[in-house]
Amino acid sequence: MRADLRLKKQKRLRIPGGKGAATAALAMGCVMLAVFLLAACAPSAFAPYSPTQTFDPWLPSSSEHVFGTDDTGADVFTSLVYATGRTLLTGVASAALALALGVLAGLAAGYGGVVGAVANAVIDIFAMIPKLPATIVVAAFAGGGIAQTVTVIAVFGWVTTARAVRAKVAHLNGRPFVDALTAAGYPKAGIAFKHILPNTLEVILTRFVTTVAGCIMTEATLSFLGLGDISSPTWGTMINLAYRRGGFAMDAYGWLLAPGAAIMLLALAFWCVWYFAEHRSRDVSGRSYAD
Amino acid sequence: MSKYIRHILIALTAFLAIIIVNFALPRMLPGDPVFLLTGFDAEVLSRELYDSYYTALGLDKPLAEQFGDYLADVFGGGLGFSYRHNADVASLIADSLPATLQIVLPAIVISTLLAMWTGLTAARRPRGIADTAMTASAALLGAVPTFLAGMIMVVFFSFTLGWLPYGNLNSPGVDPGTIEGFFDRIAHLILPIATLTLATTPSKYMMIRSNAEKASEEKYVLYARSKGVDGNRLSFRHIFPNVGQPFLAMTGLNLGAMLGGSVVVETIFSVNGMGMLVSQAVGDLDYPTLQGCLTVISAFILGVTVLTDIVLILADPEIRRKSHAR
Repeated sequence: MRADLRLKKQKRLRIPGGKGAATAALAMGCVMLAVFLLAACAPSAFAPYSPTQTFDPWLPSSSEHVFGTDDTGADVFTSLVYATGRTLLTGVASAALALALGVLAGLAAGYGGVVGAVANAVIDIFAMIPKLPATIVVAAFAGGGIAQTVTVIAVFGWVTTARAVRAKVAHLNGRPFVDALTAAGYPKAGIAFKHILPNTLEVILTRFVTTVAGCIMTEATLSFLGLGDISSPTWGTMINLAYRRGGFAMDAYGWLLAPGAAIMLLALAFWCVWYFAEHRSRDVSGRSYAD
Repeated sequence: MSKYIRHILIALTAFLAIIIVNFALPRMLPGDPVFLLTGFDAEVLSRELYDSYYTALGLDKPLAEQFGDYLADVFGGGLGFSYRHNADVASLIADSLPATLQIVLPAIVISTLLAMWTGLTAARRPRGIADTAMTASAALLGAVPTFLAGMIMVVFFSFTLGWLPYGNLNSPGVDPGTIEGFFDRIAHLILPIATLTLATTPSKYMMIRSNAEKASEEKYVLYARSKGVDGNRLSFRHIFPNVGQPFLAMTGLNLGAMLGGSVVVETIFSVNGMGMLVSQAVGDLDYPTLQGCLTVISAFILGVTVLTDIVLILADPEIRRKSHAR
């Protein structure tokens, strides 16, 4: 009997890998995130030089300069470490805003009536808008400040969360406890925020992790196209500078590739955490709202 | 049937929303609309020039009239005027679109086929070796930013190995009309197409794999298996028709993601397509061009969505059989 149950649970998993793999992924993701977070909080502990220190320009990578130096002679690894904080901050801030928008829209969509219909329509329409092109155009209009960038990324980045929350809310609305609360005469808004919202927490947390990675990727693309703030560079801005200032011609591969690799590692770290969360949520509730 | 019509209506509304946002952005934002519509700033524009632009752009007219003129321009095919390029945005896009389509269309076809094949194969034995390996690599590839993938390709295949050319779609001095020119073009296209394919396949793979795995627990699959249907035939003849629909329904959106990715890819490979146009317009603050490109991309998405919905209506057995029965 017990074996049967376990078999059934495993069959429901939509992602490969067992519990051990999930735990290993979580550990790996957390270690990577911890390193990035430490680098963001205390860059001077990681960077070999001060951010204003300069050397000969265009030095190739060596034991003194892991990724070489850039056109102004700054150590690329040092710039990379000092850009960590800004990159993480933009990503987390826009993800938080996108998440708030998405959760609100998703809750409203399950609300029924005019509010529900409007929220559903808005979600479906936003899902049809070409995300990256629209983000690029609106970001160009809005200018390159951090507040503007965060807002624009969030405005076009909340739809997937809204759809996941909407699916979960639809699922919860069919549960007896919602019927009981409605029959007992509790106000609809109260039910939505006090009783349904806490039950969507698992979806929200899972979505947050993927949204942060997605927002960092979008920000990097915007900065790569030159929409970033040069006074407080992110990794995307670094790639833009490396590309525009002749990184290819000068064989400055460290400068060109290292920021991209850092973004990739960060995205992977978030993916590892997502993988664990997804595993857990499927173990517990047996279904996923990710798609 | 009604779900397809709803889908088409949503796509149409999204297109109209983009058009309205395009009109509203330069007029609503705190900046001066003349600067936002021409891309010039106070340093370049003298008082007289500013005034002439102000009237030329119709900013002295009432808002409703401006909106009418704007709509007439969008649907009349002008798409606005780029003062940076001194040309109609529509003609700029028409010049650059062929290069973009040569990259985007093959990338769509290749990534769709690749995702279908790998996704269905992986779902055949969920959590088996092939599935674990392919899903892990899809996750890994999904974390690679498009620009990193493109730069690695350039550094590795063009600069280090020297196998493939870098930059634009033709080598200088080669006539694109000849056979030699044709192969030269293919050689130039390989890396951009590969980069775009690499950037867009993982998410499609994940989607089709998860749908196919869900479907493989259905009874018709069990029935087909018990009749001895197995392997490719089971995946492609039995499972795919049942999971392909949401996959095809996403084609329109997919095109949007492709054209967005093309901005990055064309910038890295210096291809003079629409992506490069966008990327340059970002640098020059050439707002009319940016807006025109967004309008065209949205129109493409609308067109492809309508097309795929018609195909899906024709392919939907429920609707097909109903009309036969009548």
